[in-house]
Amino acid sequence: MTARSGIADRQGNLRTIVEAIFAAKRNGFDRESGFATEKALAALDSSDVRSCLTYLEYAQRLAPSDTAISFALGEMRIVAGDPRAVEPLELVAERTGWRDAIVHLAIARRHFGDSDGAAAELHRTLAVNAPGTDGAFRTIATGLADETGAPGWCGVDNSGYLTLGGGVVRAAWRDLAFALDGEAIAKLAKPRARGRVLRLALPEGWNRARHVTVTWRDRPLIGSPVQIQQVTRVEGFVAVTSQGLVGWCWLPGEREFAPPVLVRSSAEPERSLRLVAEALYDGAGEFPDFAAPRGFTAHLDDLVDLPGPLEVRGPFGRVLYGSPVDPAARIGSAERAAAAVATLYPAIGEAEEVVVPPMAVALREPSIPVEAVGRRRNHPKPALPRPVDIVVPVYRGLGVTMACIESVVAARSLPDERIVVVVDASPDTELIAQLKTLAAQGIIKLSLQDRNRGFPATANIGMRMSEGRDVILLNSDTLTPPGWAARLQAAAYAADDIGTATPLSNDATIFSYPANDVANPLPDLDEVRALATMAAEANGDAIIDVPTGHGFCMYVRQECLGDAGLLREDVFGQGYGEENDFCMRARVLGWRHVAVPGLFVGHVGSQSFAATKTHLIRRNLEILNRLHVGYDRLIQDWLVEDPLAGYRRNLDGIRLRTEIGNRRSVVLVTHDRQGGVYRHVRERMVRHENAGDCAIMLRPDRDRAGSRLCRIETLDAGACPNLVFRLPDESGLLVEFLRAIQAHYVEFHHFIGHHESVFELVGSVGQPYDVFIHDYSWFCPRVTLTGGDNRYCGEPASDVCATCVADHGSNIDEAIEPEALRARSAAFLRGARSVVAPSYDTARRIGRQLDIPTLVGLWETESPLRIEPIVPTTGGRRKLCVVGAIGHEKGYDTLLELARHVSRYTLPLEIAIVGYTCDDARLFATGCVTITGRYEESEAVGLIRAQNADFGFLPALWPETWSYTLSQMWEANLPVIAYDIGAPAERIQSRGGGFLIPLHLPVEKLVTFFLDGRLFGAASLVA
Amino acid sequence: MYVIPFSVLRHYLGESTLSSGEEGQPVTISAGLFRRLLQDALLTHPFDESAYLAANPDVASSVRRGEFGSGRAHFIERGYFEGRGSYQDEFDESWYVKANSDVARSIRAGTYPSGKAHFQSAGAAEFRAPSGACEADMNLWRASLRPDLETSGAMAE
Repeated sequence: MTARSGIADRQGNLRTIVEAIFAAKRNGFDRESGFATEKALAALDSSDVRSCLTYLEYAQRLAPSDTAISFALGEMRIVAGDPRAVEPLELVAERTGWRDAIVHLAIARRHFGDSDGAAAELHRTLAVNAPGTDGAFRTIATGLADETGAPGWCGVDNSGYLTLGGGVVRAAWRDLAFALDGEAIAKLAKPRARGRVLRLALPEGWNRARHVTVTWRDRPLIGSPVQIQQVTRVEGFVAVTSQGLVGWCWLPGEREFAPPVLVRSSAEPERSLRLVAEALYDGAGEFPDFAAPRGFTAHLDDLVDLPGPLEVRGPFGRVLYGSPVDPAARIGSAERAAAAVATLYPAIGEAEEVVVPPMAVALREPSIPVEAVGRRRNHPKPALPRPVDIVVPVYRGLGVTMACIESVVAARSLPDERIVVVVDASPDTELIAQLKTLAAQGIIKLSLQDRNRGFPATANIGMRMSEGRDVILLNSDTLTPPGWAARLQAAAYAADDIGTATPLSNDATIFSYPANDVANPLPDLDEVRALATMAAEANGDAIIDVPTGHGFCMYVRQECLGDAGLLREDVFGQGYGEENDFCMRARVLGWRHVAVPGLFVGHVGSQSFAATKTHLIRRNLEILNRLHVGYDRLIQDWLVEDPLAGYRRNLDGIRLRTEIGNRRSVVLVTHDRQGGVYRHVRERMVRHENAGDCAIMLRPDRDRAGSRLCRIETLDAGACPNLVFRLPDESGLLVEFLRAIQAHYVEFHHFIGHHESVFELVGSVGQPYDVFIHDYSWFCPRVTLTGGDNRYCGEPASDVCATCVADHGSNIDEAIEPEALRARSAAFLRGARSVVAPSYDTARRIGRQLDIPTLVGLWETESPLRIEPIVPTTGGRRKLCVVGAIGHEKGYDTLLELARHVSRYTLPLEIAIVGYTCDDARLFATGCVTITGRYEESEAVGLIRAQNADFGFLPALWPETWSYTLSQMWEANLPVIAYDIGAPAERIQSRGGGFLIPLHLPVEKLVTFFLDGRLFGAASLVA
Repeated sequence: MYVIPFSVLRHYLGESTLSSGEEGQPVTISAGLFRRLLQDALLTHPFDESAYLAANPDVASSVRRGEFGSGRAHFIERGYFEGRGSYQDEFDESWYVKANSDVARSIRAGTYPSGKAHFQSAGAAEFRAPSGACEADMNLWRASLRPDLETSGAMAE
């Protein structure tokens, strides 16, 4: 092969490699990253690896968690010889655990000289995944074993074969030792070498062992010990459709494996149907990228001979999520309902006198509309305290289960309180042993089930054991505070018709706290206890009606259990939704459900988001909505009303006050946008905190109906999400709270988004306030002193402002005439202790427009300038850098015009944008612009340096008040060109470090200026 | 290891040195013996074999070459003295943040993302204990190596 065609082949392959990675991705790209990845592929057509990398890096910044882009980025960096190739590949390996991703990481490490590291990656995949069967995998594995002096490598696949490769293939057989869970495997005959590997069958029962070890003269092979339960991990899910069964199954440790699926009648186990999940499942669903679920279906016609319910199992007898299912039940139920109606209106003869649905016929799919709420029942209040059984269904999770039981034991509060633990055929022998010890000590009542039946059936066994006592259904991954059971009981008996009571928790859907829309981090037992104490202080004995309880910790009155019966075991599979079904059934029988906001119980909850779990939750929600028509609507309506909001706010308030202790507070009022203002406000907060005060922010928000809210935020942004006040109605409450936390000073940074009563509110606090000027919104509803063309308006007479706003619109998110705005601002600023602007330029404009004396205080301490002068290049090529989020007001239109001009006349100017713009695509289309995409503040200076630009450019055409991006470009040693206006001009004027150009410079002249070497030679301009 | 009778030890190290009430008294022994005693102490130090091998690929390779019997053997014989960690997972985030109020403050201010990050970059070198369980041991080390620092918690700022 000639050198030339070799290169051509390799370049041709590059596109194939990246295309293959994108093809293996399950979820598509969004519009923006799709655009960038297309460009990256196109670059490979012209063998332009550098430009491909630029687009991939841009795409990655747009979609940071997209593993396909990370994968392609890693591959291209290998090609480009960039050792940072390992970083994105490490991320993909970590996130997916996919063999191929880990192997590519190994290739990258080896490519950059780290053979030991590469061998470690090979071990990482072989220990938990099946080995690759292709020649390429074997070559790499054997190469790495030889290079690092390992005796060889080994791996296990899901067909039960052990593969050996490397030096051991030619070694004496007697020097090799094999063991399953430490037990030597005797009598393994040496198989004939096939190619460069040995393949031998593991003994029967191998799949139940935990690990297999392979050693040569006591030296472990790469991959040993292989963790068998990892290699054989099965993911699968099954649901019922009107056609029959549909599901998916795959083995993440061996994507190539087409798993067998067994459908078996529970009633008649000898009747079964064998399927193979072959074709890739293309149904919707929340699968991660690079997942390879394989679909299976079984039509009702194939299932006629199998009486339901049906058990559905994947390889190694693993029960799939969603099993058992009963595809015929729904139709049978409907048929029986139709037949019952038919008896009302018989075709021949009279209708039967009384139509009673025959109780013998199971109503598998009853329809109970949520509008139907039964008549209240009168259950006289019994003598309290009543005996209670705490029913804890257990499957696995040694640590959390023992911690849960310990916390329950330590928190006993009722005279007759039993702990009933029911174990659902757990594979964890240590867990069973420890529970047996507790049972022997009389601490718990224990029931061990020998067959796995799922959560609802297990919970029912426990509740039946209670024989007419009240029950608390408690998940085995909860942490309970002292007195919790007594508090729940008191709530349950606060009225005669309360059936269930549920406390707040960190992870319990509508009962969640502090955030009630996402799972909160798990508090430890000390924190649970502290939260419970504060909840009691904040909310006392309040009870709030809820549509349904939550099974993580639900007190159920015995009479309610007696009326409604237990949980359904037949439709909810492993669980999720069964307690909601129970609550809906109790509800139609007249029972109420309440939340107990004066109590908090910890819940480990769904720390992982396996596809199986999300599929089961979604399926069960569909079932719930069929069984209880209108269920979703009921919950949504309740959530919109959010009757718990006030109680969560009480608790947030106490929590924040506890944290503040006897410190005083500083209040910073600002808007709800990101950018320079937010950064500045946070920096000021840190300063106040370091000085010993507590700093809180007031930011605007709106509720679902669009009414204005005011939100309290601390430096830890999500810590108190419920401290939200409706303005102006709750203004008094907010002031009261600010006084309670000893607010002694207010910094007013921005009013945009706030209700106008915020000015009055600041006055009501009764403490001094300073106003910090960030822009011109105090008198210009356009905010930036620009008209429709995004250029400085020249601050004409004030009557022009009204027409300007009428023509171009207001940007301050409220309807106020410019004159009224001016008057309101002047009055508020006059009341301030001082008004502070970041530059003399800004201070002059505020002073001129509002007649307010304004102080100047720089937003940052400026570090000494170290500007690198521009070096003339051959051909006069130059590169300029623009930094930040470039919207229209930041000079997007100037940039676009500039880029198009450069492109049309093929001028030697490149434009590098660190950050993003309001429309990247049009800039990319010019072919002379690169864009990094969104970045973290801490990366900015490094990214600017990485552009290797000759100078920076600030394209904004209005008097900016400070400009953090100017500071960042200076820190990256760039001279900066800016228009002769605003704070940037003032800073460049006074310190050097750049050049000023006149406003309204036409784009042709601008380019000439950028490219004219003589102008840059004027070193005197650079300080 | 085999330990000589206390009477012999007392004879050579001095009568009062090892008697009670002289906790702060320095004792001189050879570096070799100290190293050996440390190695014995490391036998009871928490250790995660597979995490150690994963984090130290060179050690994993040398175990496969038969140069060390296991990662643990390497750690005790050499790894500890090369400054390698034992990868035991005994860091208790909530205990650490609660026990160090200055750390809690710097996390709020965004200086450190977590207590663990603080422990790794500064806390360990400041003799802060990673969990309540090893606080007493940590106090002993500190008292011995940095007698100028007072007891736990006084490290703030």
